[in-house]
Amino acid sequence: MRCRACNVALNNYEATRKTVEGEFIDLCNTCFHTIRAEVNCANNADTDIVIEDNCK
Amino acid sequence: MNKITILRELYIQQVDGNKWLDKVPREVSTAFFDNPYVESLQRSQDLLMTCVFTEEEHEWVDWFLLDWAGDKSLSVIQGADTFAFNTIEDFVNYLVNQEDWEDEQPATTVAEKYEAAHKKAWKTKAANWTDHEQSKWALMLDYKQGVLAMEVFTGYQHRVIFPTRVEALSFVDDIGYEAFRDFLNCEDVS
Repeated sequence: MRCRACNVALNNYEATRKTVEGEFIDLCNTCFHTIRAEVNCANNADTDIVIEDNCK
Repeated sequence: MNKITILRELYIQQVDGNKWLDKVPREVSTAFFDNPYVESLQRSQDLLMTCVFTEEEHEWVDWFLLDWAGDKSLSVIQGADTFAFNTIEDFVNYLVNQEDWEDEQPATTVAEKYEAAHKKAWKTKAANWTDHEQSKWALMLDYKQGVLAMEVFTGYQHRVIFPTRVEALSFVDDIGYEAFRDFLNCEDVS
C-alpha cells in the first residue's frame, strides 16, 4: 500500500488509519499532517469507541 | 522510566516535529522522510513503543501522537462514558484510569515481545476471517523495494498489513495455504 499523495510505502499504522466515519485515508504521516486539522481519525484498537469533534 | 514519562517525551518530539514540518517546503519534507535512514529511526521508535506499551495502548499512543497531537477538542465515547480530550493531561488521565493499566510493562526482550504481539494478532485475524463469509477478499503482493505487503480487506472493516515477506508467509503457513487461497478466491501465487 502506498501513499495516495506522494507514493511512498505506508507503514502498518498509516495503511490502517481511518476516519471516524470508517473510511481509509491512505496517506503517509507527512502528507496526512497537511490535512490533520480537518480530519478526525478513529483509533484502530477500539472499534466500539466513538470520537466526536467538540468544535462542530 | 515509566510509560507516562516516555509518552510525554514522545509528545514533545512530535510537537517539535510538527512545527518543523509546517515550516519547510513540501518537497523537502517528502524527501526527508522517504529514505531508509529516517525509516529506520521511525521503525526503532515503533519497536520501543511495542516493548513499552500493550498492543491496545500502542494504538492509542499512535493515534494520540500522529492523529490528534493534543491540539483538537474531541470527545471519546466509550460505552456509557464520555471523555473530553482537550490536552495531553486529559489523554494521560484516560490511559491511567483504564482497567488493565500498569505504569510499567513486565521486562521482556524486544524479540519476545514483538513475536508475542504478532502471534496474537495473527490468531485474532484468522478467527475473524472464518466469521466473515460474505466479505470480499483481496491479496496484493508487492515486491517493490524488497517489501512484501499483503493486504486483506473484509468489507472495509479490517485491513491487515504484513510488512515483511517472512511475516506474511509465516501467517499463510499457520492457517494453511489451500485454506488461505480459498478464502481469498484468487489465483495461485506460489
